[in-house]
Amino acid sequence: MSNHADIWAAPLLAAGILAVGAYTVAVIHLAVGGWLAQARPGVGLLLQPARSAAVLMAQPATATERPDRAMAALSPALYAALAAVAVTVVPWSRSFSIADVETGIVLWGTAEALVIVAMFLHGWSSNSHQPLLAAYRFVAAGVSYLLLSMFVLIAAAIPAESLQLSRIVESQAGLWNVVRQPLGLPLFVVVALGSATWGPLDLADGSDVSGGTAAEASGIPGLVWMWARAAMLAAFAAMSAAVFLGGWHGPVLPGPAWMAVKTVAMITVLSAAGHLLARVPAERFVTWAWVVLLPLGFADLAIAGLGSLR
Amino acid sequence: MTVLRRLAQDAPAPVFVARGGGAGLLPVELQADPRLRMVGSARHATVLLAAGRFAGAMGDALDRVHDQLPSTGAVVWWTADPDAARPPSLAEATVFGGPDPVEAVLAAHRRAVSQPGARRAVLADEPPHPFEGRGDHGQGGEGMMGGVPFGRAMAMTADDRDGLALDQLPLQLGPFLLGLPNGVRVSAVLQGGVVQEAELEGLDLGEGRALAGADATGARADLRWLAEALRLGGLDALARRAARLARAGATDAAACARVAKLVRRSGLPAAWSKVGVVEGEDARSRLERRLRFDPRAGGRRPLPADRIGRALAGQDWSDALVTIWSFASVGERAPAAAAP
Repeated sequence: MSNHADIWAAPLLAAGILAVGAYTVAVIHLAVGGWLAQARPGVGLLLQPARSAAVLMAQPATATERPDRAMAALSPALYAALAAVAVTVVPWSRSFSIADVETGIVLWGTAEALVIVAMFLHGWSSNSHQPLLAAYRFVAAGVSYLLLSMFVLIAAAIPAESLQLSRIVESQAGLWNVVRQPLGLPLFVVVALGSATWGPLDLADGSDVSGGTAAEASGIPGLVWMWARAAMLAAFAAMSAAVFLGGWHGPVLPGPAWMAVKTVAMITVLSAAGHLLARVPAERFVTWAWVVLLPLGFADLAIAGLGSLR
Repeated sequence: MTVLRRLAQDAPAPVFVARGGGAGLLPVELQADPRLRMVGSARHATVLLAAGRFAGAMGDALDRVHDQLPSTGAVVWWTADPDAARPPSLAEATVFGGPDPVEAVLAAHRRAVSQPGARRAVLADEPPHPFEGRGDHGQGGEGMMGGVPFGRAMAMTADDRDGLALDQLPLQLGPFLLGLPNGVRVSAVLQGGVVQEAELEGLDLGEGRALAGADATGARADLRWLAEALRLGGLDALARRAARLARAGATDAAACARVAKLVRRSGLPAAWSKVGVVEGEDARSRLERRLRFDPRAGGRRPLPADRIGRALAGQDWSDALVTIWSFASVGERAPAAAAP
């Protein structure tokens, strides 16, 4: 079993990993967007997320009439905390993860399930129409993500015969899951985009609802929410790298470097999907999820099961 | 000056644009400039850019948006007629009469983040709707639901299209919402995310001089329309690219074709398929006509507001916005003002 980080160091480590991850998400998102817009942003791009964060820090938080103040404050914190809990189970090398628990997949799934609660509370708490509407539609689509996520993660656990993330990575020493279970990663990308409400599945904070659950958020609360969303995407990218792309396995470079490279590659894929694919209407996504994606999730599980019988 | 404020000054300015009379879709082109970042909510902006004329109901609507801007935000009025009557929200605005307001907006942004002074609200701090004082909890509805307490209509159960009793949420949006043509306001009743009934109203955009460059035809007009459609679909980078081409005069046919190709690959046409079907034509067909950038392709006659309103019933809210925008004329006239 990997070294467990000290109980006090764990939250700091998780926050540090997510701070770096969220900043990386912001930079890559701007870089891919700039390339697509043919805007040639240059090296100034590296500072741009810090500059935009400074705008929000310099701005006062606005309040709507009769908001649920407690929930308005707690929901961004809950969402960020869920990203932090999720990232604790990700193994960065053979000997290090923040909490390499034997039921890592279950802990990850629990954090993922509670995303729906955080998102709904965020939409509810401002006492405003568009955030509430966005929260409704996130909840409507949310169950589809959760089922899909469980199918693909359990499928990945079958060859390892364990729910522990480090053992799932070890099981990919000869063959990565992206090859062994080719449906797994694309389906997990759908889950990532949905849970972080990003790009084609930005149902909770979309432009068609004026920023959705965050439509009324400005100042520090707006910054925390934006950071938490980017952190959640980074957590999913790291999880994808560990579960489907062989984690720390790779030639020449040390294990953590491979994890970092693969995580950045996944962030780039997720960011490109965000820029290149149009938002899917919620109602049609739910139909598509139940008619196409969930059967594909079953197929992924069947492929993994049959593979383990050989 | 603190490091924080210096960093904030150099950030792309988050701008909320309110398009008034005589602005057409010209402000859409501003997103081509990487120093600006268009935002969909006034809460996210440091600068409110009011483009064109704002009289009567349009002025009242601008006053409401003005008070939603964070208190340190600044207001820039881009107008061809600075001597015209202005609503209270523009009383202390920076007035800009030239063809390109980017520098004026950036200066306002820098002021807003470096010397923040509390901007005064122009409306009284009271609910816009009377507190009705009826119902079990005095909120004006029944039980714990319904009514308009504190100015916001509350959900109330009612039968939905499947015969179920679900929360019904009445709301009024516009005229400065992304995806609504200039001056259009929507009153709708939603259950979940689905429109049960909707009505479009076209506010009077007033008479007077238009902003220089507000009128556009051909490919440039199509690109402006497309840039807004792409933002509505969550494709901000592509929207910026379309706006850049529009700003450059839409003279590069090959570049326009490349944008059209990327739009087709984005899945936007598929998302618009079978949405807003009127007279046998869906929103996807209307999008495809724009993507040809061919003035000979022509537009269909604008539909009257009541026809569009009826077409919205039963649609997902995002599809409803797509339907409305797919009928938007590229110039001044809003669907509500169009002749049947």
